[in-house]
Amino acid sequence: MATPSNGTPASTLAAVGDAVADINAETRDKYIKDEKVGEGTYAIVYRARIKATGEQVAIKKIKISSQQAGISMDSLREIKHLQELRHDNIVNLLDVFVGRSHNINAVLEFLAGDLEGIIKDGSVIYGTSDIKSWMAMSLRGLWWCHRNFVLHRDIKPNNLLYTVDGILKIADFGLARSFADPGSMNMTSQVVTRWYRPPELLYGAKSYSSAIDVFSLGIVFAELILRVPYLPGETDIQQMVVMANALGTPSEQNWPGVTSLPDYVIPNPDNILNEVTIPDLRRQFTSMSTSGLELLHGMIRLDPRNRITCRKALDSEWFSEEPLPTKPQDLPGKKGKEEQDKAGQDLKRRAGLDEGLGGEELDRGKKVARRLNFGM
Amino acid sequence: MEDVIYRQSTQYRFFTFTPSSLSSLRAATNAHAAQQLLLELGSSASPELMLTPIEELKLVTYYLTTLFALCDHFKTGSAVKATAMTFLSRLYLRISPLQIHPKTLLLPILFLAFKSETGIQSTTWFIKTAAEVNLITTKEELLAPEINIAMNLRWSFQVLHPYRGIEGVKAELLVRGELPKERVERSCAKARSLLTGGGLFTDCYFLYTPGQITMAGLWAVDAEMCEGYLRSKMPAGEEKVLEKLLRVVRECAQWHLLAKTEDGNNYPGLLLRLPQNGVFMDAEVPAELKKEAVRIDRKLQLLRKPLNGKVKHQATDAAEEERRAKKRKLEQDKMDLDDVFGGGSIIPKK
Repeated sequence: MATPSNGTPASTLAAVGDAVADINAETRDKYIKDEKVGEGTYAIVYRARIKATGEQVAIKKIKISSQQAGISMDSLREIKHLQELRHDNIVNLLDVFVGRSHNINAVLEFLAGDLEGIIKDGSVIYGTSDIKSWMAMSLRGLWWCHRNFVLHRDIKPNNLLYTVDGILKIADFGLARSFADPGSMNMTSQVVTRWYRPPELLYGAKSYSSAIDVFSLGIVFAELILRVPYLPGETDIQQMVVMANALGTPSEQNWPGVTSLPDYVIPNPDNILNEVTIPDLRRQFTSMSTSGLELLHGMIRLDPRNRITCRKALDSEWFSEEPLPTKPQDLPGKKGKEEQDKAGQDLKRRAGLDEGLGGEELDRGKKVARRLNFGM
Repeated sequence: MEDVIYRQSTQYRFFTFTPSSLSSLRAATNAHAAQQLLLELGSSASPELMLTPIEELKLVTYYLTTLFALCDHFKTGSAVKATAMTFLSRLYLRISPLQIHPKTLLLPILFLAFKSETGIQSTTWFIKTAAEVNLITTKEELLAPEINIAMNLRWSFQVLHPYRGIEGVKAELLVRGELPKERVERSCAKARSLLTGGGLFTDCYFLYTPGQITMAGLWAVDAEMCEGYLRSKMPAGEEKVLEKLLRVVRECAQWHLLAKTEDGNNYPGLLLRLPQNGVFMDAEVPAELKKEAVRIDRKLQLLRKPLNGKVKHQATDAAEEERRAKKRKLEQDKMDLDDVFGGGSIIPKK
């Protein structure tokens, strides 16, 4: 655990009264901000170092000064949940401090890239073992979220990042919420990026469960295999059509109660389909073994009650059968320490308007950084 | 597994103490703040006029009752209420009323608890609802302290509430069907209202794990049912573990949740919220204790009076003008803010 304040007796060591401001200043001074690596509407991401050790970190600075506007919901959610979730496959929040102009800065572990970058990069070749490894790590991280009663609510390839050692980390908890109080009936359905949004949210459900994240991850699973987005709807309405054509038309038969959801419609009345079966999936995902198809099928069932849980998914035979999951350090797409330093230098040169090569690296660096942003 | 999750939590890492470390922290906070205030006041100050640590504790606990009533007015539900109450208790571990008066933080704390628990962030609604009980605030006054509150809460917004555990125990006991349904339901309902009521005024959250407090809540209302349940959960051969657990549960229930003024004090000399220390422990404050709180409040006001002119006002002129305008309007209606806060009910008479 990298958080220095993580030691158990922290509360007894705590400073008194206005010394909180001193702790804040000390925390701030622990890090050296290097160059800006990305900027979005709400945040700027810097590459930074821990002064004492030189270890790389990322600092996400919220643009809005909290002095007037208070703490934005995105940063509140992200900080709230990341403070509690400590897991190998969840991005580690190292520190939070307030800058001199009252901006919140979140110090996160440094990440090298994301799955979207890998899926889209035609020069990266990967196979079943690699997908297994990414899926296993994603499921473990997600299992831990759910075990802690946290819904991520924005699982998608660019929120699944990896370290230089290839360890996958679930990031961006700006939409996360807790579901510790059972029976909450007033949850917003306006969450999860459209292509990964489960049918119950498309239908405006006000009460939902961890099955929403499982569905999103199932769609990521399909995308990792196909290397193109599996359900790319262009509008919310069209998303329902794309979903129903691929997975089946939601009906009382395959999903008891669905017709009473607020926004229920039959999206494809001219093409009503039964819910997709494992043999149906086999035709589309020809490279997959039966246990792999069973896992995929279990994750993308229409009725959330039929969907597999993360825990059960991790027990899938697919993970224990040949070919076995790739060891994280052997996964494609990662960057070695040296390469990364090079990328860093490229970034610096570009910042100084050097027209040298390395533009591709620069773009990728920017993209990675952007993924760290709140609410992009 | 529960233990792993709990030990990772900020509740354990930053806000769990032994009785004596909790007491020392409170004493140190008071001493530091008093020293600082004496410096600020200069020659006009006298150390005897300072609030004592126990007076601070009484005052903060008194404002917990105000916050509790405020939550009822806002119809917050248990989660927001329990979180807001915990935020206020946690804040005053490391800051002192000598530095920031708790009444100025009640609305910002409640608003932050709403944001954290429900995602509700409409200031318009909030300001309007507060005004119904004559608490006048502006958007800026509500939001500006947020970052300071967060810093003082050590960026910890999640609170693990023991009342949540009751539902699980109830479901399990009902499925087992060994006890009459009515008894299970009645005892669990009583335990829940204890943990979302009087329990929020105790030091339990600082001293015990959420699971222990859940069980203590049950023990307090139905000891037999609670102990039977715990025995049934413990594998054979774990008698020592069971006995230890029972000891902790009974202690939490008897020494905190059920503590009475006339009980012997099990923590002599420690700064803990206990009725034996004259700290009121419930939403309903007895008249003489209310008088005591008003006295401490006046003392604090007098003490800080010389500084009033010097205090930097963070609000902008516009916000200040808005606030004053609203206040003037209220005063026309013969409402007096200070009186409202000085000890009377914050809920207006119907």
